[in-house]
Amino acid sequence: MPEWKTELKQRLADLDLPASREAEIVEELSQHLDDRYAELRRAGADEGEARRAALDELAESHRMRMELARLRRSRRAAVPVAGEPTRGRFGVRLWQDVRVGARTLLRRPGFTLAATLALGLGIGATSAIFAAVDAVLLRPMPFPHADRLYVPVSVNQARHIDSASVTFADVQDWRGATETFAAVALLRPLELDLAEGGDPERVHVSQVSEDFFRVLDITPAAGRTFVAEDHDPKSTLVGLITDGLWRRRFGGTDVIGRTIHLAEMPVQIVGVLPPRVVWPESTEVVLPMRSALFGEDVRTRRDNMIFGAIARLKDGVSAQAADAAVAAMAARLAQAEPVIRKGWTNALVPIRDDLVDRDLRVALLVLLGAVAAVLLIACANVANLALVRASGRAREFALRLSLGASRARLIQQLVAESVLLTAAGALVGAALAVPAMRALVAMAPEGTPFLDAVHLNPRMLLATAAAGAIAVLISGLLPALSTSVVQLGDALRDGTGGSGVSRRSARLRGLLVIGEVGATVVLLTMAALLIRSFGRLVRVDPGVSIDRVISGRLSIPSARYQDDAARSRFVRAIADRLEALPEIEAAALTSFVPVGGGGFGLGRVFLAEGRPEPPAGPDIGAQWNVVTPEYFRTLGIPLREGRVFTSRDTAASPPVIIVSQSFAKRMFPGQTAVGQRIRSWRDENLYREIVGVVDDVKYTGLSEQEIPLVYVPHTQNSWGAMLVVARARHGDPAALAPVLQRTIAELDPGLAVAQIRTLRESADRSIASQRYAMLLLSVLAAAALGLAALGIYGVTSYVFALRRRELGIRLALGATRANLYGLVLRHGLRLTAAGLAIGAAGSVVATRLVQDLLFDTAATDVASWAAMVATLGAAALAACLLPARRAASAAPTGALRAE
Amino acid sequence: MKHTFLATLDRELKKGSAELLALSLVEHRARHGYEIGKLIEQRSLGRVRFKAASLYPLLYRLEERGWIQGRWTERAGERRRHFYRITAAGRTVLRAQRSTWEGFVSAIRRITELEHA
Repeated sequence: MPEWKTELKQRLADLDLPASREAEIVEELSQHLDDRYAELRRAGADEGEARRAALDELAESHRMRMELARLRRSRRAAVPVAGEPTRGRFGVRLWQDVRVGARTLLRRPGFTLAATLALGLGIGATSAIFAAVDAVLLRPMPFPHADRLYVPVSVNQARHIDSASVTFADVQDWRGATETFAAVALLRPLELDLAEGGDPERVHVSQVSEDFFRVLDITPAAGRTFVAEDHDPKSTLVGLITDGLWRRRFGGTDVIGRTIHLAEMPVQIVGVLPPRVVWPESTEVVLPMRSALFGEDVRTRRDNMIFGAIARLKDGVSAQAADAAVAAMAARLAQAEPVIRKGWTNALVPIRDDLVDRDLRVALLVLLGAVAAVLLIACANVANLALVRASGRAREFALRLSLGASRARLIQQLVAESVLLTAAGALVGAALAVPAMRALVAMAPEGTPFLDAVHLNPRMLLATAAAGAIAVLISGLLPALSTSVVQLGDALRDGTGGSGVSRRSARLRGLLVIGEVGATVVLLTMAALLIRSFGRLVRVDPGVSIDRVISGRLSIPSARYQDDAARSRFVRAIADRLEALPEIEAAALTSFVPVGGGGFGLGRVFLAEGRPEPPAGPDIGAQWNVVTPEYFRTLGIPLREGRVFTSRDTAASPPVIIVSQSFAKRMFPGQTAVGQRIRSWRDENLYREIVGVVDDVKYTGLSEQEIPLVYVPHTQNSWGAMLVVARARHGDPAALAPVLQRTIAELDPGLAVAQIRTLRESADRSIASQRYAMLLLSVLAAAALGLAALGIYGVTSYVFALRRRELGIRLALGATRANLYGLVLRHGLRLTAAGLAIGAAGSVVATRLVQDLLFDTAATDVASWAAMVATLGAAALAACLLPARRAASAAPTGALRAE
Repeated sequence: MKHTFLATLDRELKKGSAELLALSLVEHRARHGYEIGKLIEQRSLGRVRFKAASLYPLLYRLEERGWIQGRWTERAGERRRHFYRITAAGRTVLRAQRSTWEGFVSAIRRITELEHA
C-alpha cells in the first residue's frame, strides 16, 4: 500500500490548521485513498495506475484547501462549544471554556457584578475572620512542643472558682511526680516601678523558679538564663528583659551587664528574651525566685494560693492521665486537710487556653460559624442568580445539545463560568479582607493575645480558596445539573410557560431561598440575643457612679516608706493634695477599683465574734479592700447603715471595718450588722467592729456578679500597692490624667502612676468582648438578612414572571389587584415561614453556643425571638412588595399578549 | 458552448444536491467518508461522483453546522475510522431540504412535461 500521508501533509501544510485537526484530516483522507487504491487494484489496475488514479481523488485540491481554510476561519470565530465534538486536548478545551466563559459573563454585566460582589463579600468576611481565628486560636505557640505545656490551677466548684493560683507546697508535690511531669516551674507575678530608660514606669515582673526556662524551653536572644546561684539570696540580683521592653525602654542597645533599678532594687541584666517568647504574656522582666527567703507558712501552707505554675508533661503521658494524677493528689490533700482544702481540687489547663480568654474563644468561633453561614447564603444567592440566567438560557443550551454538544460538555462549560466568577469573587474578597482584618484588630478587646500576628498568610489564602471551592460547587453545579436535563422539545418550543426547566428551577430556587432564610434566622436570633444582652449590660447599675472618675495605679516602695506610719502619711498626703485642687471634687486611694478598673480584692474568710471555727461552723468569704476615708464619697457608693471611715480611724483607734450589703446579709441574716465584730480568722485574725454597711458594687466588670466586699481603713492596714481615684468637678475626667501625674511627682519624683484611665473606660473595657461579638454578629446578620431578602425578591419576581399569564387570566376573570397582591405576598411569606421554621430549629441549638456571652438573658428570651421574627418578616414583606406591585399592575391583555 | 452549459448545470446540480445526498446517507446509520462517496456513486449508477477533494470539505462543513457529527470509532479487527452520524438539527434540515428538493423536482417535471406534450 502506498504511503499517502507525506503527500497529504504537504498539500495541507500552508493552511495553518491546528496540529491535532490536521492529523485527523490526514488520517481520514489517507484511509480514503487506501480504499480507493485497493478498489482499483481489485479491478485489475497495476500499482502505478492505481496510485495515479487514487491521487486523482485529490485533483482540484486547491478547492479543498480553500474550503478547509474557510472552515478554519469560521471555526475560530464560532462559539467553540456549540455542538463541537469533544476531541481537543483537555487543556485546549479548558482554555476555550475559560474564554467563552469570560465572554458570556461580560455580556451580562449586571449578573456578573451582583454575583461577584456577593461572593466577594462572603469570601472576604470569611477570610478576615478566619485570619483572626487562625492567629488567636490556631497559631502555633512560641514554645517548642507547646502541646505538652499545661498550667496547673486550683478549682473550687462550690465557690465557682475555676482557675485560682496554686500553693508552693502543691507545686513541690507535682515536682516529685516524675512519672507524670518532666518538669514543673513556679512563678510569682509582681508589678514594680522601673527607673531606667525614661520616666518611671510600672512593669510586669515574673519571679520564676529554677526550672522555668527548662519547662518552657526558652533560649534567650542574647545573654543567658539563670543558673543555680542566681536563686541564692546572697548573690547579685540578676534578671532577663523581654524583647518588647528592651526595644521600648532601651532602644534595642546592648544592655547585657547593665544595672537597672526595679522598685529601687538594683538588678543586673543578664539576658534578653526573643520576641513574644514568654509566659505569662504580659511579663516584661524575669527575676529569679529566691524561695529561701519565703517564710515557713508560704512554703508549707496548703491554702496559700498565691503562685502561678507551668508544667511540662513527661513524654508519653496523656493530658487526661496527668489531669487525673493531679486530681488524685488534690483529693488526698482534701482528706488530709479538710478544714482548708475541702471542696478544692487541681486541674491542668492547656497553655493556649490559659492565654486565650474563654469568652473570646467562644466569640471567635461563633463569628467563624456566622461568617461561614453568610458565605453559604452568598453562594445560595449566586446559585439563584445563576439559575435565573440558566433558565433564561434554556433555549441556548437546548440548541447546543441539539447541535451535538454533550451534556458533560455543557456542565463543564458552566463550571468554567463558575470558576471564573469565583476567581473574581475571591479577588474582591481578598481585597475586602485586608481592611476587614484591620477593622477586626482595631475593634478587638484590648489584651487579645497574638493580634499583632493577624495578617494575610498561606493558611488564610488556602481558606479563601476553600471558600471559593464551596462557592463553585454550589453556584456552578446546581444550575448546571438542573439545566442540562432540559428536554430538547421544551426548549425548541417557544415561550417558557410549559418549559420543564423553568418549573424545576423555580422549585430549586425556592429551596435555596428557604435555606438562605433558615441560615439568616440563626444569625438574626444570635444577634438579637447579643444586642439585648448588651443593652442590659450597658444599663446595668455597677453600684458606683462611674462618670467623672479617673483612676491610676501606684506602688509605694517599701524601701523609702518603711513603716506603716510613713506609708499612711504618704497616702494621706496624696489624697489631701488632690482634694485641694479646684478641678477635683473628691479623691481617695484604694487597693481595688470597681468595674474592672484594676487592683485586686484579697480573698479572705470571716467569722463573727462568738461563732465556732470550721469545720464546726461555716465561715463567710469576702474580698478585702483597703481604702482612705473619702473613697465612698469619691465613687458615690451609698452608705446604707452606720458611718464611713473618718480621720479619727487611726492605727491607734479600735479596728474598724465596713461591709457590703450582701456580706452583711450572709453573715448576719435578719440582724443588723453595725456594731458586730468580725475577724479574718485565717490570717489577720483581729476583731474589727463593723461601723457601716454600703451598697454592693460590681468590682470585676459590668458583666460580673456583685461579690461580697469588706473595706478597711488604710491607716489600719497600710498597703503599698494602691490606686488613686479622683472625681472631676465637671467635664471629662480624662483631663485629670496630667494633674494626677504632676501632683504625685511633686510629692515623690521617683514614683510612677500607671494605667491611668477613666472608670467609664474601664467599664467599657470590661464588656469589650461582648461589644465585639455583638457588633460583628450584628453586621453579619444584617448582611445575611440583606442577601436573604434579595433571594426572596429574586425568586418571587421570577415565579410570578412565569405566572404572568395566569395572573392575567385571574384579572380577566375578576380578581382584584388586592387579590393579586395577596397571592404574591402569600408566596413570599410561605418561603419565609418555611425558612423560619428550619432556622428556628437551628437557632435552638446554635444559641446555646452564645449562652456564655449573654448577660442576664436566656437563650430563649422571648423579646429577642420576637424581634428576630419581626425583622425577618419586615424584610421579607419589603422583598415581596415590588414583585407584588408588578404582578398587580399587569394588565390582563398585556399579560396574555406576552404569551 | 452547449458542452460548457451542460457541465455547469451538472456541477451546480451536484453542488445544490450534495448536502441533501450526504445527509440522506447518514440518516439511518453512521458511515465513514469513503462509504458515503461510494454509495453516492453506486446509487446514482455512476452519474454522480464526488472526489475526496470535494467530499471531505462537504462533510466538514455539515459537521461545522452541527448537522452531522463525526466520531472516531474502532470496530473489531479493523483500524479506527471516522464515522459520521446525523444530529437532531441535521434531521430537521434534511426534512426541509428533502421537501424543497421534491417540490423543485416535481415543478421542473411539470414544466418539462408540458414542453414535451
